Formats: sequence, structure tokens, C-alpha cells
Amino acid sequence: MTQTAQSLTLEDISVDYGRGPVVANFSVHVEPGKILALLGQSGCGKSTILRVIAGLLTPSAGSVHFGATDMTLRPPWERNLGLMFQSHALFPHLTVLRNVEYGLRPKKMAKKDSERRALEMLELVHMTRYANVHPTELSGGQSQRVALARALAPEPRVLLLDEPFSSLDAGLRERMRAEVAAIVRQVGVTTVFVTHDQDEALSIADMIAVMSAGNIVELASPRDIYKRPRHAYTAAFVGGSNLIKGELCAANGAWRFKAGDTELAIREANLAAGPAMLAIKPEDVAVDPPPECQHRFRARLEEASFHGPNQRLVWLVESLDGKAIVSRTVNSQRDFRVGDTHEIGWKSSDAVVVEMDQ
Amino acid sequence: MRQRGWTSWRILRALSLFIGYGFVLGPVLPVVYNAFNASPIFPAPFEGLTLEWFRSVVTSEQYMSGAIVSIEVGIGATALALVIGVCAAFAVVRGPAWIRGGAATSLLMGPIVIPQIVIGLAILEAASQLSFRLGLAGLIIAHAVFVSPFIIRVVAGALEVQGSNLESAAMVLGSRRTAVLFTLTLPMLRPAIVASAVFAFTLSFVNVPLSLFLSPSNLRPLPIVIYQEMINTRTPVLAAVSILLAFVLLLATGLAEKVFRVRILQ
Ligand SMILES: Nc1ncnc2c1ncn2[C@@H]1O[C@H](COP(=O)(O)OP(=O)(O)OP(=O)(O)O)[C@@H](O)[C@H]1O
Ligand SMILES: [Mg+2]
Repeated sequence: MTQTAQSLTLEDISVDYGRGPVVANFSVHVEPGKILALLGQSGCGKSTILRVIAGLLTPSAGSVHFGATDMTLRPPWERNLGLMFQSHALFPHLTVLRNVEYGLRPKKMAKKDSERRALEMLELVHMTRYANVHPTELSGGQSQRVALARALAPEPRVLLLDEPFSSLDAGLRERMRAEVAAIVRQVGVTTVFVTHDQDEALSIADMIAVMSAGNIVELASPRDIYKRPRHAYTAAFVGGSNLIKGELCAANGAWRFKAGDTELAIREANLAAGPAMLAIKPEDVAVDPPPECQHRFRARLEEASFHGPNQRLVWLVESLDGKAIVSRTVNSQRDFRVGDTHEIGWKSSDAVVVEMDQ
Repeated sequence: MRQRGWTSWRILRALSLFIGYGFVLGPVLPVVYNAFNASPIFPAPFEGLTLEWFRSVVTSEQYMSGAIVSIEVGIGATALALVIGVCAAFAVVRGPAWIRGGAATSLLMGPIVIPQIVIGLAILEAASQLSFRLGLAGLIIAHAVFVSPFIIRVVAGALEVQGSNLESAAMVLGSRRTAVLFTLTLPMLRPAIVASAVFAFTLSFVNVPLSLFLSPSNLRPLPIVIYQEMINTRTPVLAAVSILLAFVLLLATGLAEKVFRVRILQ
């Protein structure tokens, strides 16, 4: 099956529903067999991109290529895709087996072959027992798996998943996420995956495209998106980083970051000197930090909240113009009292200089 | 055991049950007992039990041929209205923006809101001016026009609820637009189509105003036969034929439910 996997290229895609552009000059390339996650807030145009790839929507400009073939003006039924909607969209008048078989119908296979293939797919998603049940009798997770089997049955060149797990409860979501990721990798199909859940994107994808207002803010591997973001938007959206406004300067071959009266030594920066932001993840902020934390501040605890295994603390730092810094630490015997003053800090290697939002 | 605090709700519920059933079924009761009443006058006080009037109906050439005309008109009108109604429903739900939505749907409800007597008279007049002889076809067309709004309402509603997500999924799975229509959209609309067809047939079967103007003297639908009998002679046969008619329609609906595996009555 792996040999059918193909690269996917979108070039300068623009979409306009009639009230101004929803997506403008959107370009992305996905290598064969890789999983791309489109991550962004509600309404930023993620589903719109999927509809363009599926051919359910014709872009006003730009092109869609599968491998070297231009698919921009091909109708959906000629694209050989698997699509899994947010709502699962199982056909209610057909049994589970007939649902999975539906995509084999246009292939004019012998009835026996298409039925065998559908049963194979059901086996892959552990739903063989439900072959003759109607979709209304399935639970959320079960219809999820049937929808995946249906999408994969015709051996699609590209698999599109639109927030497939958003209708499931937390526990099931985690399990389904792992299962789907495993199946997709096993089949080896090029996949574009839409989500507004960063955990989902980080755990499944090979590449993440962080989107905002119809465009890609940043495209990188999950590790880089999380650990080494380049944009303030990414840093805040993924992991909820603290952002300190300031200026990046180079002096004697070393980078320094100036914020208020404070000047901090920076390990590395791939930006030009000038206005920038410093991003630090809440879990990297230590209270009464060990010596290896070079960036240190005196701070007053403003707010403390309990989050199961973690506690979230909000600190006010005077030397950063009263900036609020959020820290997240494992709940220990230690209790911090609001109003207390402590030293907080982080390793300079955990502080990332990011580009300011335009 | 009973929870407290539900008393006013229980009273309201009992009251609505009484009002609902009482007002809908109450007026039908005198017809029922008159159909079995031995008195030869209709309506009359109860005198004794008989099935004589039912026998008269079944052996009456007039009533039987009336029933056959009604069935022919009903089936013809329903078939025609289904074609018109399903097309119109698609136009109203899936058509271009200017044809879609509430205003267009309301416009298509026209045949219901214009008095049927006026429609009947107008068609009759137009036909005579064009020196066009209205036969069975004229009657069928007029009935179809009258019942198609009911089909549009029901089918358009179902189509709206169905949405286009499933069709998108089917197209992405490789089915052409027309194939999707026949393998997905229409099969899913089947319950709505069958239910509205049964409803349409019933409306056509009991229609008086349109048939009154448009039925030629040799092709009288059952309700017109009943109407004329009512004017000439009032016998309990009228009650008996009414009961039979209701019974047959109910039976037909039940049969449609069984054959097409849809729910109409519940
Ligand atoms: N059919 C449509 N007509 C007009 N505007 C639309 C249509 N579909 C989407 N939009 C607009 O396009 C923008 C992007 O929509 P899209 O569905 O792609 O968002 P999304 O990122 O998938 O959001 P969500 O996470 O809520 O699903 C939204 O602002 C929406 O209002
Ligand atoms: Mg969406």
C-alpha cells in the first residue's frame, strides 16, 4: 500500500467565500507518507484548506498537486482521497460493512473482492463484530473507527482528517489518537490532519503548520514548534509561553536581551538585532532556582491555582516593569502563599528569542 | 411513590389529552354509530345494530366505480406531485441563493393558501376558453398541483436536516455527483418521500372542491358521489361508506409502512 503514498503540494492557495479572503497565499508541501498537522484557533481556515485539497471547494487562486499531477480543477471523485469529517459522516441508511464498502463501488471491483477488502479494513480498526450494525447504534469511538476504515478502504493517495477526535471524551480521545496514528503509519499514507488541540498535533504529526487568520505562521517539526518556536504567536499558542517584550542586541559576538532595566545573556538567536520577545515555557520557570539558572528575578506571588498534579503560579516581577510570569511546577509538600516574595528563574538555554507579531 | 410538585403539570396533561382527542375524534363518533344504526334515516337516534349499510356500499355500482376513479386520480396525482415536489424541494434547499430559503418556500405553498374552489373554477374556465376537454388527466393535474406543496414541505425539511456533509464524504470516496444522488441522497430521503406520498394520496382521495368543478360526469371520484348522494337521499349508507373509506386509507398507510419499512403513523 505504501507505494500509493504521494507527496502533496499546495501553492499560493487563496479562498474567498465572498466576504474577503479567508485563506491567502497558503503554501505547504508534505512528503510522501508524512503526517502534517494544521494547528490553529477556531475559524482560522483549517477546514477550508482541507476542503480545497479534497476538491469540495475551488480556490480563487493557486494550485494543488498530488505528486507531479495538477489536481486543482479535478472534481473530488477523481482525487482518490480519504476524508474523515469532524462529524464522522457515516451513511445512516447503510450498515457498517456497506459504509466501508461505499468507496470501493466506483472501482468496479467484484462484489466478493470489495466485501473482503471492507472486512479487512474493519479488522484493522477492530470493528469486525459490528459489520452488520447500522451506524446509529455505534458509540462515538466506534463510529470514529468505522469512518477511518471507510476513508482508508479505497487506498487513498492522501488522507484528510478534520478534527476527528473532538467529539470524544478525554480518555477515549487519547486512545483513539494513538490507535489512529499507529494505523496511519502502518498504512503509510500521506496525511493532513486538522486540529485546534496542541497535544494532538504534537503527539501525532511529523510536521506542524501553526495557522492564524488563513495563513501559516510557522511550519516545523513538533519538537521545534514546542522547544524552538520562531514566532511569538507560536510560543504563546503552543505551550502557553511567557512572553517578555524587549530588544535583542549583539555585543562582542554575544547575544543579549534587554527588557526594562534588565539585561540577559542569550545562548543563541537566529534573528536580526532589534525589537523581539523572549519566550519561556511555564514548566521551565523554577521557584528558588538552582545555580544553573542564569536568568533570576525577585518576584511576588500574585495567584496560585491547583491543577491536579501541577500547580500554576502567577508571579509579578518588578524589574520587568511589573510583568506577570506564569510558572507551572509539580505539586509538592511545599505550599506557596499569595503575597510571598521569592526568587524565580530559568536556564538561559530554555529562553527562546522569538519574532514579535506583526 | 410519587414526587411532590407535579400536580399542576398532571392536570394540564390530562386536560390537553381530553381536549386533543375529544375535539379530533368527537365529531366522528356520530358517523360511526350511524353506520351501524338500523334506522334508514341519516342521521338518526340509535335503533339497533345492522351491517346492512355496509352491504349496500359494497354492492353499489356507483360507489365502487367512484372508488376506482378516486384510486386512479390519487395514484396519478401522487406520482406527478412526487416528481414536482421532490424537484422543487431540491431547488428550494440546494438551488442558487435567490431561489433558496423561506420566501421561496412560502411562495410554493401557494396552492394550499388559495381556496381550492377558486383554483377549480379558474382551471375549468381556462380549459373551456382553450376548448380543451378535461378528462382524467385534468383531474390528476389539478390534484397534483394541490398536493405537491405538502410533499415539498416534508421533503425540503428532510433535505435541509440531512445537510450536504454526507454527500461531500461520498464524492470524496469516488462517487460522481449523479451517483451520489441515487446511492445516497434519494435513499436517505426515502422515509420523507414515502410519508409525504401517503399524505398526498390521502388528501387527493378525500378532496371535494377541486373534483367538484373538474370531474367529468362519467368520472366521478368517491367524495363527489358521496356529496351527490347527500343532496339527493340521506341514508346511513353515507356513514358506512365514510367509515369504509377511513378504514381503507388507514390500511393502505399501514401497508405502505410495511412495504417501505418507514414510520408514517407514529
Ligand atoms: N461556506 C462558507 N461561507 C462563508 N464563510 C465561510 C464558509 N465556511 C467558512 N467560512 C468562514 O471561513 C473562515 C474559516 O472557516 P473554517 O471552517 O476553515 O475554519 P476552521 O479553522 O476549520 O475552524 P474550526 O476550528 O472552528 O472548525 C471562518 O471565518 C468562517 O466564517
Ligand atoms: Mg473546521
